[in-house]
Amino acid sequence: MSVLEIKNATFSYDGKDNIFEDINLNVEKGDVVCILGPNGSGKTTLIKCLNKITELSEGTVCINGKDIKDISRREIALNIGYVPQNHVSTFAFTVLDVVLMGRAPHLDFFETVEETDYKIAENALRKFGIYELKDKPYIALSGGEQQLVFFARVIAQEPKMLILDEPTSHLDFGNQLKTLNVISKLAEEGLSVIMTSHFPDHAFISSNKVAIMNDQNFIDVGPPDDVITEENMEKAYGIHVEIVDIGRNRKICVPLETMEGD
Amino acid sequence: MNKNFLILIAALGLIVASSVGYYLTDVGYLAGGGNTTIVDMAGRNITVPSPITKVLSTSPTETVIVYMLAPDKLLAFNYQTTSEEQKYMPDKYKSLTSVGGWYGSQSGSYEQFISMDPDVVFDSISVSSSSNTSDSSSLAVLQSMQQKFGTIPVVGVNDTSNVTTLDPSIKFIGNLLGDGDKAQKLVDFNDKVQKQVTDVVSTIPEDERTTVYYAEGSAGLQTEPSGSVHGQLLDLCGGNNVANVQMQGGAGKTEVSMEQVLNWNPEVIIATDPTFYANVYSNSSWSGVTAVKNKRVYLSPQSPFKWFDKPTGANMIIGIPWVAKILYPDKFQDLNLTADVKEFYSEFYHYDLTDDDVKNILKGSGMNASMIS
Amino acid sequence: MSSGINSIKERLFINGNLRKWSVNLILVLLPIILFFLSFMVGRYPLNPVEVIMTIAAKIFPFIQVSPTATTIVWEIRLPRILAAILVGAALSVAGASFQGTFKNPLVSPDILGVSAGAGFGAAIAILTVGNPLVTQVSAFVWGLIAVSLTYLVSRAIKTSEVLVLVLGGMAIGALFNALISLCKYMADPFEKLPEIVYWLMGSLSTVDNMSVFIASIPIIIGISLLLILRWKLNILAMGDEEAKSLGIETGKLRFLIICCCTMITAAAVSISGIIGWVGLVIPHIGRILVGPDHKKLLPATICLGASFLLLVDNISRTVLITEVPIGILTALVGAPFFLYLLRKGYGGWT
Repeated sequence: MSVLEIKNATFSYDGKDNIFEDINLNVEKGDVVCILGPNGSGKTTLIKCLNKITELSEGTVCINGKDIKDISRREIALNIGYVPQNHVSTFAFTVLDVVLMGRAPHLDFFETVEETDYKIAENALRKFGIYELKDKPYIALSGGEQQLVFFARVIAQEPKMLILDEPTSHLDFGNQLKTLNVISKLAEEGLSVIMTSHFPDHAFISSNKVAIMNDQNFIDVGPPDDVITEENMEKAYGIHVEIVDIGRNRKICVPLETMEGD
Repeated sequence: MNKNFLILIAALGLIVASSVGYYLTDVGYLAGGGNTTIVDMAGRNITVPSPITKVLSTSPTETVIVYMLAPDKLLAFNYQTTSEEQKYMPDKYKSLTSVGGWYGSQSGSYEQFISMDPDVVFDSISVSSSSNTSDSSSLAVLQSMQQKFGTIPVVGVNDTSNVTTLDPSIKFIGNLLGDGDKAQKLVDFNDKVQKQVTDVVSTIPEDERTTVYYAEGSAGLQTEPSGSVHGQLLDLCGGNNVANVQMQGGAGKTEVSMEQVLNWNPEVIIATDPTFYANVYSNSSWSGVTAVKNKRVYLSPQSPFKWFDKPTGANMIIGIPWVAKILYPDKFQDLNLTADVKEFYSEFYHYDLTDDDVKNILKGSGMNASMIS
Repeated sequence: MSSGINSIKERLFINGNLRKWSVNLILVLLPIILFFLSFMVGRYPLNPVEVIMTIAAKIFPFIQVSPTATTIVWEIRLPRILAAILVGAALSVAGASFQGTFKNPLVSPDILGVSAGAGFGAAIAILTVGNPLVTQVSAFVWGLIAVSLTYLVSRAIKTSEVLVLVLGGMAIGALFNALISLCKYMADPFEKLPEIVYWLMGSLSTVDNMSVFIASIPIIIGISLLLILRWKLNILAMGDEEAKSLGIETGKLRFLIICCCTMITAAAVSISGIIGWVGLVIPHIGRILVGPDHKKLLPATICLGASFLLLVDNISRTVLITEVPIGILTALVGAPFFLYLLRKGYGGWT
């Protein structure tokens, strides 16, 4: 049974125009799925439907065989961890406070955190090497460090699957690769990952499955080598690219020029 | 769940403690050191000291009566008297302080009142118009006030804002304070001037009544309709109150427009605000009103208390002959206003006015020489 | 982040635990000490020994004390002190909780219209009945009604829950304020109107033991529920999306928090009238002292709010001959202090 199964997913804001329709996807244990696609294709909306932050208009999402419509938010959160693309901060919580929040799905409605939860949170911090920052206000950290805090929080949540919305967008060149390595390591430990991205290169680095979203559907799904082709890139992004194999088991996607007539 | 459980236990404990505490701190009725039992006007049996030498009251209408009957027993006023108001006050009463009260704004401090060690505190109670007994809200307030004053008896006195019904309250206060004779004199004076006035005005037919407008506020564009307790002298003295504005549930100080006043065109205007009176004859918008044209605008004298409204109480007794003379100078030619004023001030305001004093007061109120007899 | 916050945080970091412990100690001791001291002050001259004797007389009935002292201590000072503690704590906790729930450190407990509703309840009761107990109950009930209306409005409109709640609160609050003005217009300007106006300005001078006892029940229940849920408030304060992704039923949690805050604010307002600034400023001071973690913040606001109002009321009833509405005093103290906080950069939390 797949960790996550998306069947005939359709979504529309106003009931008339569909943002996407009839999307199908299976995610197995240890998969790292990268969803590529141009701005406005609905990538973020799609993944927010996976943990019921938004609700699908039609279709189902099943976690380990259970339809998310039938299970509580808490149970979904025990299975899926979510790292948002943008975070608007209001209060200067400490790093430890933020990571501790990941323990929420493990507590009943009236329960509060205890010693064991604190220990798990601290371990999550150590795992990402930011334990020394635990008493610092998280809003005082750099973009990369903040990203790691959210990762630590999601690990403290102990889910089976991660949903990451453009995890590398706000990071510098070096941190981008470091984050992708973290993701690969988590996948090796048994977590499944779905992430959205703007960078085909990143899909080559970390993913074993790629889906390209355009025109309200996936125009292709499969291993990165099969899906990230010059033809698909043209269809999705409207530009000419060249896919280059640079050896060392790495391919890169180089943008060349826009299409004629643009 | 442990810590949360503790919170719930603590909360429950607090509520229990609160109930127990409430039960324990109930001090019940504390008997004062008095030796006389009386029945106040709310029907309560209370013990008061005898004789009573120190008095406070919660609102100006009772304070005025105490000042008139037994000023040496009065500990303080409810509002700060102005220098204008102190003009015709004997020196020893000029320094009486203000301790606030509970008459609308609840500015009285219980500890302040208690620290002045009064023998009794008078509280005003309203009488329900339907049953002629004290209305229940007044009683509730009276009881909670007694709780606060502990051993100091709070004595309920019927509301004294209507000159036609305040005789019983005057007598009650007078008898309680041991000044029953003075109280009787005040009641007699009240009855005398009222009879004098009503005997005459009851013969005046409706269409011959002088039209009059009560100008309130510094702009004079607020007024009291007929039937309001604040403009009661107008009704008592046979005036035709032009302001037939809608009276909402005992409300007053209704805003009116200059146009309305011009439309009503009253023959007489009575005011209580000195600023309005000072400006009315030079104000072009008012120049078209008959009362202004005929110089029949009058200002209530201010000291020690106004003669016409604010406070509404025994101080208005002297206003009765004054308003009567203003509205119908011909019909009240024999009414000796000067003598009335002298007697009233001497007996009840403890101030002997000279003839010149009286002339000044009456002239200052707008009366011309022919009225001052 | 401003240098002001930085320097405080640095000092905290350097002294670390020592600083934290001394702050906690002060927070716990302050209200307790103030509570006992409050019995000793007042316009009636009672020396501390007499006060202690009066209190002891309840336990040991053979001790004789003057009935006046008994009245002063039990009927006049006790209800006021308890009221100040209850109201101060209630408004502060509600303020802190709302600031977290609405993800906005500039909201006060009145944001959903509870004060306007309670004010209307009191005004109409004063206008028609005049019985203090009825006024208290009416204020409480109408406070609840106002917020219920706001909540119903937000349920009817399907967009962003928080935004609609706030806007709905503004509208319902404005509606009830208009109704209050109508009551004022219809009131006898010599007696009823000043009474209504005085009530609206907030005062603890007319509370008695019964009204305090009645109000204490919803306040204690509401505060304890909020204390139980206070850690979840942290999550709500991160935003609805993230809270949902962490398994929090944001609608349900927000509803419960609103219920508790409304209940305690309505109960507080029903005995004290409308006292502003406490619910807005005390949580800020709390955050400066113990940080934004609601696990520490809510208990801190209880201590701070109770102490603050107790202190202000003690000063007001000792120094002044007549009673000045306490709402005026909290505004006179609160507003400049708030501006000071903003100027020093404490207002910028992002």
